[in-house]
Amino acid sequence: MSAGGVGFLFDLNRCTGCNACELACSIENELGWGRSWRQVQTFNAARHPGVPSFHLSTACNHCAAAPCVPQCPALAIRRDAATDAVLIEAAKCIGCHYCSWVCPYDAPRFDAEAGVMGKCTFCNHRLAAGSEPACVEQCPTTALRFGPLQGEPLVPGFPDTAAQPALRFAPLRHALRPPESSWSLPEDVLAAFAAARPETRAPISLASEWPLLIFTLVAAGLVGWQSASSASGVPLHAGSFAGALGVALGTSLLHLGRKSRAWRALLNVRRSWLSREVAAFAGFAAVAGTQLWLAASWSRVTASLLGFAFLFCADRVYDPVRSGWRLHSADTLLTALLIASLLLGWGGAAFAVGGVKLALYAQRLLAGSRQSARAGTLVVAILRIGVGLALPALLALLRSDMPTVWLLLLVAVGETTDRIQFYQGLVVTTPRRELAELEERSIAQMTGGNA
Amino acid sequence: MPEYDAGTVQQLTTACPRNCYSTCTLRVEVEEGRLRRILPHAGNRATPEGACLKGLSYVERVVAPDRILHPLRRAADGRFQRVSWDAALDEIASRLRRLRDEHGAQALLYYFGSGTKGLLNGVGAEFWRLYGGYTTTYGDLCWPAGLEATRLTLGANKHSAPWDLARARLIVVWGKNPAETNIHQMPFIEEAQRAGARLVVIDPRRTESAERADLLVQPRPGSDAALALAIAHVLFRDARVDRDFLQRHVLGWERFAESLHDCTPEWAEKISEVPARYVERLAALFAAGAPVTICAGYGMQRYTNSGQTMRAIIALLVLTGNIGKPGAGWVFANLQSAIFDRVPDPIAFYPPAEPDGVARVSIATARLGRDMLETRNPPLKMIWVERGNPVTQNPETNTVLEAFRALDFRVVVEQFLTDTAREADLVLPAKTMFEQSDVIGAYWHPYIQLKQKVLEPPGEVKPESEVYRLLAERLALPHDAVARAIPGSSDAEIDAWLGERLAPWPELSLQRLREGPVLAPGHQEVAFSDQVFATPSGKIELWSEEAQRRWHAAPLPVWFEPEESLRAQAANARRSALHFLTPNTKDRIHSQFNNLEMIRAHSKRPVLHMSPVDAAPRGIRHADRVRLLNARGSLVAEAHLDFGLRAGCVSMTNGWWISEGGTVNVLSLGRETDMGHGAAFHDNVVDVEKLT
Repeated sequence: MSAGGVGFLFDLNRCTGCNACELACSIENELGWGRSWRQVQTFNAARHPGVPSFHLSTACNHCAAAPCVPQCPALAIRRDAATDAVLIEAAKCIGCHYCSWVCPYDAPRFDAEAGVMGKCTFCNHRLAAGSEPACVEQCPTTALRFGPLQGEPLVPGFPDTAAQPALRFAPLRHALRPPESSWSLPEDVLAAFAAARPETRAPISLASEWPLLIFTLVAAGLVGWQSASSASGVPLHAGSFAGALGVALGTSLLHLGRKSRAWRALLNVRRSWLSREVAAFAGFAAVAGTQLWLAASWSRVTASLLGFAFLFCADRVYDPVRSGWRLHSADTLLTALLIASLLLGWGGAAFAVGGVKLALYAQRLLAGSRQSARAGTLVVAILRIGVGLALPALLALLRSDMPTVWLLLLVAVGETTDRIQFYQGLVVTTPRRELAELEERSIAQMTGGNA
Repeated sequence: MPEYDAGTVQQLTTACPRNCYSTCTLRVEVEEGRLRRILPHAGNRATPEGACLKGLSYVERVVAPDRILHPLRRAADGRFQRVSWDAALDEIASRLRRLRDEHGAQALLYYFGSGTKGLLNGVGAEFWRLYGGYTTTYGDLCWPAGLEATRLTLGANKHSAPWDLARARLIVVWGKNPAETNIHQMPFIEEAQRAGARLVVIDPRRTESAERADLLVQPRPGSDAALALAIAHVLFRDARVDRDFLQRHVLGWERFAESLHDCTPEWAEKISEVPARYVERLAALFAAGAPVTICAGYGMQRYTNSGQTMRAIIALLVLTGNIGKPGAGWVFANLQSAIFDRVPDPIAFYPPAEPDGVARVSIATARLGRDMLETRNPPLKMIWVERGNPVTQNPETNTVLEAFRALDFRVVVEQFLTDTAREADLVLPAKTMFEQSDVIGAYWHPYIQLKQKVLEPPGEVKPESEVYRLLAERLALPHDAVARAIPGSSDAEIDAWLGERLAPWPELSLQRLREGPVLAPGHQEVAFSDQVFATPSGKIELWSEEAQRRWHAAPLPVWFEPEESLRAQAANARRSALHFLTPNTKDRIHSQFNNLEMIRAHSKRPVLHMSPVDAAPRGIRHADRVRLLNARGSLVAEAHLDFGLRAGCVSMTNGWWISEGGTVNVLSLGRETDMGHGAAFHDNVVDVEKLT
């Protein structure tokens, strides 16, 4: 609960999904016709007979423990002292999208024109002037109100988080009981229901995050290579190393809406893993780059330490969006360790790291196959385990004179495959996703009950 | 209109004049001649929380880039070119003179739709009268069958104030989807439900309004009367009628009771496909529910049997004594604010018994295209269209188009290039609701309102009253008569003209209306609470001689199969035939609003809702492209599986322009309802096939 103890009050019985709140937001905040910081989400839009349909109108909930505030690397999100509104300061935002990963309510949205994130401001300017947010003022059914936080903190379909949102609900009078109908649908056609459900847009997708995929893979390779070189003098080709470093730096900037403000990513080292990642990577790049010309031992060790610190931070950045896997076979730290072991020719270490990866991957695969066997799972598994781990291990065992570069290439195929799966598996909690899961659960329960 | 102070924001009261139940009172915020925001106005008890998304979208509508801001003339290559008002008016005047000389004034069809309410709309007919004559339509697309059924039964079209609904113990929303078409009714339903009322929705679709209902009854389209008669049968069978009320206030109830002998729940089940036990349930609810309010929609009274359908449904309230009491009644049309009409609707829709030789009222709105083509002595040569988009909204689009194209000259007054405007030779830029003051009533709440001018018309936009004045000058129409019939264009002259209209009622003045809405003089908060029924007998007429005399209908409410239905066509049953429902949506008022980006964000393309029961045998899956077709035309849409829609029906919202993906009316047939000269275009059966 916000310190002021006020926030949005939403009555599920009254909302008809009329979208007036979205338009009110759009007009008040001059977001451009058709764009809004508030979204109306619909549960059971295709009208499964076993559950009711209802709507959730969601925007920023100005949470008392808002994850976006401490996690913003650029210190661009603050809380207004007077109104408790959580605000993105456009002039400070670097457009890195990270707030949209950590927000469980899908509030921050990327404004492509401005290159920064934008979200509901609680209509802070109106609150300051003593009036209600525009969406509340314009709700034609009073489903959305504003006031002291009274009511249920949670309803089915709304993400249950520790963020302490400034939002309370009046739940559905009949809970998840649908209206009784005189028309009954034959059981056999209900199977088609899944196809009619609207798709849920994932805030993170490979299509949008491919620069991060390249960045993390290349950076893991660089740290592995550099640390191998600093441990036992594996040669560092200055040109290739600098070139790869350039690629990593470049791709790390690609997804920023405001590249010229990239330096701001360093501002929140105290609280943000993303800031720490950026700082450690900058340190690694600087020291390792220097090392190419100044072969001082202190710089080699320093660069390696920074490199591994960077990868540790990079893996932590993904913690809020990992779906259940604290440790992933595609974590950058493991990738760097595997590459370093191979380069150093430390067979035991390589087998150990590979073994850990194999175990993590197999565990995930087994858990996944219990839920649903997806087409392509086998192909991915062959690439990941067969080409990426088993084949290099076999070759290394059979032929001790196997050139390391061949082994590295095979490992790279496996690591890339795994890293792609890593991105595909990332999950951002959003109301839309939560509603979709509730839909799936309640319908599965029903068909289970009938069977 | 108040003066603007540069740099200041003004808040002014106005009202939304769309053809919509809610007719919201609005506060509009204007800054330096720019419409900034549309805000709620608490002075209207029916709409205190403010406008729907359409109302809010006016900020885009008035400045939309596709708005027509100057006259457009169609060039030889079919494209529109900007022309001056002088050129446009000179051409119209010269064509009008020639038309009158060569064919007679009645070769002109003056067509107007329901795009904007207002007293000033009347100046159109006044102008054409002075011109020497014109042809016009009778009937109406919206609601005549229900109006006539109500008039025949209760004597007047009025209902209790919207807020009275909160006092009901049983609310039956029959063929209406207020969540989308009358959102301001939903808070009153919610209030009643919180106080323990039951909500029943009767609709082939599982609409948004049905989601919080206790019971959803989904009959086959066109079968509602059978359902109602069977409920009445059970009420009589179980002696659950209000005998005292019947004896005092009702004509023909004994004969009605006799006529229901065979109308058992099982009989109704065969017709409506609603299981008999649900008919019993409904009857029990009616019997125990008092006070009961039925909120009846307009869709189900656009069938060839729907005058009788509406009479049968009203009868349920009559039998249970739910007329004239708080929380009870028939919520269909509340014309208590229509105080300016000399002849009330629906009588005003009917062709006059004695033609006056000036206005030829000869074209059925329902059969616009066909009647236009078949008109003789003189045949139609020219059309003037305002406030309407008949190409998409009237039945039988292809025939309407044929009739339009058979004319020599077409003038369309419009804000945007609608399908109808695209057919014009000349398009004249139309004002929006913010650009000329007018006085409006409503048909749900009982308020009189000032639709106040708050903006100057942009570009070269001129209100119709001014256009008519300029045309009258060019035609050298008698100056005094013109001055009497059509107000001058200045704000002061418009205000004076409106002031004269308000003069008979001391409680109504422009001054007062500028502050907010005013309840119509003499309105009843609880309709018929005086138990006065303006029928021939002075009683509620379940037996209506007038129904028989005027419409050749059975004097008692009866059910018969609509002309076009799956059952009626059983003889040559087409395997894939389906009832085509074309309801309204929250995103539009008929064909208005969908060109706006604010609306398109929620309404991207025409979608056909389909039960999986009907989709599966046609090999149609969710999101497939399908073709709808029948003898009238065909239409392509994206199919969406709807698990709440009863089988045998498909549904697509009306109002899409041809240029936006297709109008539903390419599939409808122009024909009238059994009473009231309504359009029975919901009698509509189509085939649906998957596009490969």
